[in-house]
Amino acid sequence: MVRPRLIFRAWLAGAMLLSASGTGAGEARKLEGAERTWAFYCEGCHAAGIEEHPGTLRLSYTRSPELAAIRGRQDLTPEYLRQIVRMGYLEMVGFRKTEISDDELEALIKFIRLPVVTQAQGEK
Amino acid sequence: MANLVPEGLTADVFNQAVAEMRAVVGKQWVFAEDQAALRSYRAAYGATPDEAHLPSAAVAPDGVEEIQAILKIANDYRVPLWTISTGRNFAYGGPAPRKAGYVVLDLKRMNRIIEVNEELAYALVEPGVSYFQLYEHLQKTGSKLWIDPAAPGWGGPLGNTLDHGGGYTPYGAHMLMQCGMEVILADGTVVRTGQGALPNSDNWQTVPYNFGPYVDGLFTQSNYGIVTKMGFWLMPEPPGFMPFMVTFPKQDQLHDLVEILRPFKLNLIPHNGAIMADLIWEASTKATRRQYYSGKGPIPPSARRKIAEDHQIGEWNLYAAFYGPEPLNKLQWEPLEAALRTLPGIEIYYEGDRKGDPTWDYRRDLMRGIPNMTEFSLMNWIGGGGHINFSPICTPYGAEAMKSWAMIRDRANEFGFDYIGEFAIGWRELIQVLMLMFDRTDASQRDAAYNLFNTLIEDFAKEGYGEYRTHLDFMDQVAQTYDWNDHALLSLQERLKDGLDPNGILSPGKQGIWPEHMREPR
Repeated sequence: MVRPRLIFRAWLAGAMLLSASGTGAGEARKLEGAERTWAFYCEGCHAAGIEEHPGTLRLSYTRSPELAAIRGRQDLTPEYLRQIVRMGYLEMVGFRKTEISDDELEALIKFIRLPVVTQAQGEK
Repeated sequence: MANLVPEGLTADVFNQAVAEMRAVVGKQWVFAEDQAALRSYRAAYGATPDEAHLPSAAVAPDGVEEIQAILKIANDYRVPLWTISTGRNFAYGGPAPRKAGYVVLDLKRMNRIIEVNEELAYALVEPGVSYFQLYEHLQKTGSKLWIDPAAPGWGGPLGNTLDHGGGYTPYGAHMLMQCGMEVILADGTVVRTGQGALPNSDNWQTVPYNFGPYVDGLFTQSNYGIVTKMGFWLMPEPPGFMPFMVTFPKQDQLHDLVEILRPFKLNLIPHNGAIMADLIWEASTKATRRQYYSGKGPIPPSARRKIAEDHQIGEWNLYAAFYGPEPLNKLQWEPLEAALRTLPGIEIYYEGDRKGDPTWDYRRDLMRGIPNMTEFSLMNWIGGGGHINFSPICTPYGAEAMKSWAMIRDRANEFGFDYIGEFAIGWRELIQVLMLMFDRTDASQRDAAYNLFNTLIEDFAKEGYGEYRTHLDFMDQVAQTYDWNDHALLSLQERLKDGLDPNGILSPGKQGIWPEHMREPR
């Protein structure tokens, strides 16, 4: 009757598993963990779909619609992401190490920078 | 070593306490020197600078025994501990402590969903469990139970309930749905409330009121103990769900709307906590102020009309829902609908009528128990991150609603802010929430927001209106308004504090309750 949020639903269904080639089992597990970190802490504001996601909407105003969704953006350097996730910036709050550990943050940064391959991007 | 030190402690003593805490939880779970880690505990949206509420350290235990060991250290060295659960109630201060220099006791690592009972429809969870996590768990296990999330899904049921928060389904009055707690007192004693105190009882999460005084409430909005487990009821998925939205074109229709709703709400119709959001709250999840008005001062009527027209919204916008068999939902809606339709110019929307409207989507999802973050788009209205909530209570009479709304609107405008607010109507109460938005990078806006907030506390107290909850920066001011019979209530709260926590180590100043050694004369 009512659909869950787009990406969260995909995560629940296990449908977003990454098709990153050339990654070992350990690395794949880390990225899977990163997908969950993303689902719990990031996508509520930063998933694709400008209208429903406050961070994506914000970046569409301050940057451009093309730069609004952060997943897949190569211009966001690991160093920059590390800083922003911990310290926050303006409308975005920082995340504590009890929420996202240093290891989880490194995996999350890789996940965010992976080229986006989901088919669901255009769905609303 | 650490830069900040709790008030009254020497650096040496504090460093010793930190070293001992590290021995308890492991050095990776005590943050003291790592400034970036500590800054993640700041009150990120407040009207005062970050420095007003930065902790000296944070310690993150995992389990009751670790907490007991930390309490012993805190008692030995008089270290003030500020307890947080998920730490995500940002409009009220988030994970930050009341005063700079406290040690945050961060319970986020304790995030176990201990039990979900499908037959009796309840859950027992630890403090770090978030709404997203609980929702995920129920979905993955195929549960037919719903959660009742607060608007931002990264918060959690335990912390939200302890802060008297609410939600949007028929289970939205979280205190009413809470059932059974495990609490650690300042001396390390572990207490289970209600039937939890009876060994071998299966009824800890089914009977809230039991033999002897009801003590669960003492551990909410307080600093008398550390709640490590909390039970609460979950709503069984209903056979039908009928959300609706009604737009009202005139501001003064708030009066009629409340008059119409009151008798229905007394009979639990509509079934959930209905929300009446004002024009800008409604617009700000999909537009910016600048798109409509770049001048100073409140948005002029012509721009308001344009906003209403562009987004098909009203000066007030009612969201509510019916839950149950579809024919029954329709029958119960009919008399309310007929009453609402006597008001000129209203429009009624149902599922499917507002396709592509993110505001309808997130409101509908909240009323359906699906956690999300969309309401954070409010911050995009002006940008700059600042927002604190002023949350006074009034009785659900039309005249009262109009009066308290106009009091906030006029003061907000006087201090240079828009009124961005909503009313939640409960059984017998109206709670108004002013989303006081400001550009936190602009010191003059920060100061104006701070001054406006204090002025509102005074204005409202004079009229007999109190706040149900407040931001760190205003806890003392609000506590002082509850001063009947020479502050008898606060005096009682202080006596409890002194008895339960004689060293005053637990969250000093929470809700204006200070331990004796930090108390100022009244």
